[in-house]
Amino acid sequence: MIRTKRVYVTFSSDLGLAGINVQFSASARDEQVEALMKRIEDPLGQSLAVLDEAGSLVSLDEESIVSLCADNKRLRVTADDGTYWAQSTLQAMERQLNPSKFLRISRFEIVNLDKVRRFDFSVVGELRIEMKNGMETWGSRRYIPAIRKRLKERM
Amino acid sequence: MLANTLKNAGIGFVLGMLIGNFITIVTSLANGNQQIFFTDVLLQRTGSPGMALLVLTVCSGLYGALCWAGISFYRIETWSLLKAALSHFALVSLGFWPFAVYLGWFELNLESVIVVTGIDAVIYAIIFLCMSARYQREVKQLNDMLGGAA
Repeated sequence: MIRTKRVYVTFSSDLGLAGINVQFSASARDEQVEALMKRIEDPLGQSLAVLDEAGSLVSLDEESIVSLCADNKRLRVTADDGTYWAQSTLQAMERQLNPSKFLRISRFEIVNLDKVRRFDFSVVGELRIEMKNGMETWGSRRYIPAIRKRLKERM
Repeated sequence: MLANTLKNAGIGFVLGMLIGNFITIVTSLANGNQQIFFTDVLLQRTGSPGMALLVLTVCSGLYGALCWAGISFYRIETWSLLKAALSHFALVSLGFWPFAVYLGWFELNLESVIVVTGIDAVIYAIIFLCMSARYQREVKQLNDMLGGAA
């Protein structure tokens, strides 16, 4: 988790450039600068901007995210080290997050497949998902084919 | 969800009409005579075989619409399979009686209710167990693949 300083983005046109030149200026090449540089180099995105419980803006590594759940017009992001909040929609997150790791399991939730321990189908017919951190969540039966397809692609 | 429910109701209405008329044809043939068979209750209510056929067709369609619209229960994500099946069973069982009594299929008494509801319950139990077994198989496949991917 990296505490962020304000980032200013400017653009200048250079007709001589064939590609895109991104130059970083800061007082020091710290963790935040490294994370931003890494993110620009890897467009799939390795981190998410979220709010912690105190309301501070933090950058969360994708690898530490367990699940994202819709909760009263915002998203509850469960990570290895706690709970965070994002002012976004699940649909927007689906586009942003690494599709090989993150999968929609219901209308209300996306999980990180790397964090899933096992799936279970209860006696009353509910899809229960047990995460590696001990957390349990519930998926929709309708998403079982999509889960199977994604797991097959990962094999 | 509403659009799907209405679409299902439309499909159910058509299927209901077809099945209702098919059953009428079969019972008429089984009856052995040359006429279409209607219950005495229905003929008394409608006054003529033509009107009886029309009423039977529409009522069969409406009951079909009710049954197929109920399939939407299984699409409610927060409902378990058991809750969806029980809700559908209740809708189909309770919805049956107004049509059954009006068309003269059954009399509304304890014996009829027990027999018909009992048959419905057995059918729904079989449907629930089959669906549950299918999902259990699919979830086992997911776990096998999860282990493979890990």
